[in-house]
Amino acid sequence: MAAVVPQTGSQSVSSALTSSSSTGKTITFADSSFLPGPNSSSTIVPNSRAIAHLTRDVLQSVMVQPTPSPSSTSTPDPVANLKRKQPSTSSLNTRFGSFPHPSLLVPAGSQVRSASGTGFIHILRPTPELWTLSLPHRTQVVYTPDSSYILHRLRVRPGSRIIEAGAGSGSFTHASARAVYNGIHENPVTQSVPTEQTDGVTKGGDEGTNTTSDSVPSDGSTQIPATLTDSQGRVLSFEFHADRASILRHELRQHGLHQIVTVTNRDVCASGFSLPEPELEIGGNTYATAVFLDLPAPWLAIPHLTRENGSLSQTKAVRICCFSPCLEQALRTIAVLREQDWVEEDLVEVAHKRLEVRRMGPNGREIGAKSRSQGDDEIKVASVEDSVSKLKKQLWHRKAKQARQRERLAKRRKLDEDGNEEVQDDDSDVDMDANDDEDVEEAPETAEEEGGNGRLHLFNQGRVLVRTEPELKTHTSYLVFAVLPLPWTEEDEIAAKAKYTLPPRPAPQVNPRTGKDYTSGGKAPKPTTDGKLSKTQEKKLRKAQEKAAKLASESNQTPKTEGTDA
Amino acid sequence: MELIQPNDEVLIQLPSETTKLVKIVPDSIIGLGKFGSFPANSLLGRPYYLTWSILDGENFGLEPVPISELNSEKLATHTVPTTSSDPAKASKKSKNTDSSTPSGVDSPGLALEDTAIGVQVGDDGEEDDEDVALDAGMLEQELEREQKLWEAEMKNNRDIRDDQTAQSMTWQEIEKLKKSGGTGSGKEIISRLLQSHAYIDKKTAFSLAKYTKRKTNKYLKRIRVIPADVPNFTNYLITQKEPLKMLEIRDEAMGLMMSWADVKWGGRYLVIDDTGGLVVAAMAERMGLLAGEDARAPKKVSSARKRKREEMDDGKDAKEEEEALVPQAEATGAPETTEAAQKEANDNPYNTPIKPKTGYEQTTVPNSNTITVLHTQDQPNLSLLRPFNFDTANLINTTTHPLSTHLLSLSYLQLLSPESDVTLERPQVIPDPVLRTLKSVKRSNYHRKCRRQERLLNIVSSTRRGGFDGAIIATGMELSGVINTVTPLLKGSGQLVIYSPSVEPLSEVVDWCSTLRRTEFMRIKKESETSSSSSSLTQPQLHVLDPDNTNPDIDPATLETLKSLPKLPAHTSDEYFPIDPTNLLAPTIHTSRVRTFQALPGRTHPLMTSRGGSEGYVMHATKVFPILEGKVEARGKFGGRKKGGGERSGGRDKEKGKTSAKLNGKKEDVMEVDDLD
Repeated sequence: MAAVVPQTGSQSVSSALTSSSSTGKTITFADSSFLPGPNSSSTIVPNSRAIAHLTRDVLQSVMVQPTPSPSSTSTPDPVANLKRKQPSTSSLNTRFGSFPHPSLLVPAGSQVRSASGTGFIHILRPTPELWTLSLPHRTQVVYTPDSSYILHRLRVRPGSRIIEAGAGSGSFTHASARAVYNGIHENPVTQSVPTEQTDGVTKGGDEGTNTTSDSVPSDGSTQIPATLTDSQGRVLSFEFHADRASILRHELRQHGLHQIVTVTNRDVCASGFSLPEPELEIGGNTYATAVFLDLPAPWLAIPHLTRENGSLSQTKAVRICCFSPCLEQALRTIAVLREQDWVEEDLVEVAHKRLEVRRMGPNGREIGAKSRSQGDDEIKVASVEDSVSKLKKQLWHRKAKQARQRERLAKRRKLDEDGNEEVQDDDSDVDMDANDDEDVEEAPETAEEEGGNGRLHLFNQGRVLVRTEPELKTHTSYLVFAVLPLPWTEEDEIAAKAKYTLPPRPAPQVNPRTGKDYTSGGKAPKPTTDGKLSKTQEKKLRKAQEKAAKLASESNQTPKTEGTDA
Repeated sequence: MELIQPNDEVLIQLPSETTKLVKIVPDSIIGLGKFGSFPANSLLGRPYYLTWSILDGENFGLEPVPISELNSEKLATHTVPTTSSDPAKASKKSKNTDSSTPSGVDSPGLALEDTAIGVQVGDDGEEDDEDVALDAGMLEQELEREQKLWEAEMKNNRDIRDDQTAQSMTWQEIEKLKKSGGTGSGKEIISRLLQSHAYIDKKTAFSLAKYTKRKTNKYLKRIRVIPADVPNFTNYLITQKEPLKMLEIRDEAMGLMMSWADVKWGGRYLVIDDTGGLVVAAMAERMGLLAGEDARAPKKVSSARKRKREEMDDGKDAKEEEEALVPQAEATGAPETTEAAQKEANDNPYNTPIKPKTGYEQTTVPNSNTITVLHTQDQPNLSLLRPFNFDTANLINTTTHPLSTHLLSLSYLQLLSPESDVTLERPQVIPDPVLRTLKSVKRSNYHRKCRRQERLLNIVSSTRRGGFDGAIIATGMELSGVINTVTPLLKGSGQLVIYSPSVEPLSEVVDWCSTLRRTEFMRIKKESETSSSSSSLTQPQLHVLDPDNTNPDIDPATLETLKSLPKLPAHTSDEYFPIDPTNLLAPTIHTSRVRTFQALPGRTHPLMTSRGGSEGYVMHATKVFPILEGKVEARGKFGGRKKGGGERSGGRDKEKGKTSAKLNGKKEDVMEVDDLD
């Protein structure tokens, strides 16, 4: 169902790329809304994934269907007998209203009005980051701050092969699929899709463009194992939970990433990393250059990662990252990595914060946050002077009122001499009234400030404040990184020595005064442009040579660089 | 094989835990200061990440240190304090670490794993915790064992006196040993140092390990060679070079930027890079533009290639051009062709009507997988691309590099007002017969100028056409202008990512998009639209071809191309609306910091010190389409509306333009506030 949109203009597409034609393969764009290609026009097309942006934190993914078709024909459930909430196939239902799918077929980034006309959402093109925020959770998800750092440090690049064990909800799978993606490499000999045979014809035109394939034999048509010629980036994903694996496979097919990601249902701790599907065109070996283990016990899987059994790349250094929430797990992983001759082991933790920006008005309240500021009148004052003058005013008002009360009371006492106690109660009541009066007096002032002319400037008042989000993820996991260098035997060293012979060691150039050795540094006297030395330089050089000769005769061996300290 | 090749730039990790950027020039000597020197050839053809010890004297060169030896130094302490009583043994780090190491690659672990799996099936989410709980039993035993060992060997520094007599070995002795040269001398010194230390028995295992490590770093001149890829190079710059120049971008910030900007192979990206090219390098790495043979250091191909290109410029191309010219003239008979010809006729003495050449090699702009750099000066500062074998100062040597075709650069002037730029002047046309008589230097100069003009014209037109997948801004410039320039060029749902070493510029940008401000912007906009009076908020058009500023030396053909370019919608900043707040959806600021741990058994803790300075902040927002161009149906409802309410309801998407929706103010109100906060 992914290949609905026909591949258009494949010739211009492939010639625009740094395509590799030396292997006899054609490179085409994947048909995926996550990736650039024929489908990456600026409009949302049917049968593709889109992300509905409701609020900053609420994103909803939607598989846009072409027509409000009767359900069950369009999406067969990948896993039988599993109770899962099926999304509606005709419309997207959100808290801002219902959105029929045809109304979502708009340019990406557009705002869409709900069927009832009361709510709005933005429709966005999916990215791995947006998908991470909207995907159905099956396990704990690797979030963007971690995954971006991991992929950066693992050097996952277009054309890399990465092993991912513990695919889980597929968040990291999507991020790494984007990172390894370098087109879909079709071998013209074993083409399965007939429409793409035209690409084989156009390949002659690509001959002149740059090649990015690394160390691949030039004749791809002969019987060289596919594994060695395959330069397409691939994610080799392992998941031991059968249902999760098949749901992920289904999702990847929906997203058009199935040619990049291979999901294998296997427990890697027990049975290692070889691929069970030889029809995959890359053979049964993974030959990965990067490994990401999100397993409870990565130390059990690491011994399966060797160059000898074909799970790791034969020609490149391999990098690994293990993702463990507990320090004990991380330490055990490091111990095994050290035993297995990995180097550059590094234990880190990523602390990520999202910041909120608000404006604080002169009275200490946040501007625009209506609900929050109601009820607390204590922080109404902006400054000390303000506070003093307000209190003074209040006091003066109270005094004046009390004086008036006393006057009135005295008058009343004079009128009738009976109800002493009642009058006292009355007194306190009046006091409270006075306070209320004051509030009433001030209220119009603030209303005027915010409502009238000041309304335009309200968003520009006060100062900008930054603070962390209310709920902070203080710990996700410990990350263990390591590198496995290429093996280097004594024979290799001898061969390399033969290939790059060492030049004879140059005569040491020693400064006669300081005794400093300039042999390796750049400060040694250099001949001038016309090849002759200046007089001082000649003198220096002569002295240096004398000194060198002297030293050589003394110890009968070349002196070496002296350490500056003992 | 991924091996060190001649003229590669590599990073060498020195014993002092610093790094040095070195170019491996064949047959040269690489000097590392007090750590000595070695011939470059002893690194060529070797893999990265190996450790070498520098040899002196007779066998001048490098000797690989087996990884098992390196790691056993660390693993030795996994078996903990038993070795501490025997300093000689500790220094030698007995290679055969016995199977009792607490690594757990033994059968009980496997059995445990099986049960753990049994529990996990069908359990959603909490698998890690479950497993840890199960593992705890085993870990407990282990911890107990370690605890016992610890207590048995518990020592402290009570009896260690801090004076200089502790070490009885004199520096003369050390010098003598050093002089003797060879591999063994360093190790010999260390073992002798340990033997002659008065308090060596009283040291705890950990302090002994620390002491040994210090001495190892000092006397065993060990280096490790790592590739100068973007992460390694970033770390080198930030710790040892001038971090301020690259805006103190850490790895974690770089990762966030690349992820949120959705940088991938095949995309088109706009970048404003004040880091000297580091951001461009990171993007290029993500787009596969730094990989492969072409991205290697140029060997000797360049001169041959250069010659070939010159030949093409002179002969082959010209012929093709002549042939191409005939049908074109017939087909169009366009007046400007004759105009141009007349102009040329005035200019050149030979009066040959040859159209200026088009179609130089490498002047066309690829329409995918490109990085477009916007810069303030005449030339972009991309000096940090040099370790990646791309030298902008010496382009002729790097014409084969993938970046030379896929990296496009233009200045703000060339983007916003190309008609007044000097580079778009076509050099005076020299007719072919004359060209052939010129000296080769002059000839290639002429071709170079033509090529440059043509390429720039292509870059300008492709950039102005917009539709970029994302933009990354890392600059110290005032952001409002930059955002106003960049945002219209993004395609819908494209990502805008801004990096700043400090948070203030970014918080300002977020504030410029606040809900209140946006609502007000839309209200004013709507009012000015309905009253049809010109306001500062109506979108002016940035014209291409300003008659007052047009450079008179630009030839008519170029002008014609410029005229056909799409106009850029622009927003005029004012005090209250520095940027158009309706263009960017949900701007969010992130900051991320990596904490490194010392990972040694029994001594695991976060590193005591790390680099301070800027934290590094990344803001990202999504480009969305303003929906202001709707019919003004909701007019008149603003008056009774609560502030912060849904003025936006006036707009609508084009597909559903005629919905006569009754607007429920209250519900919208809620949505608006949620939407941006």
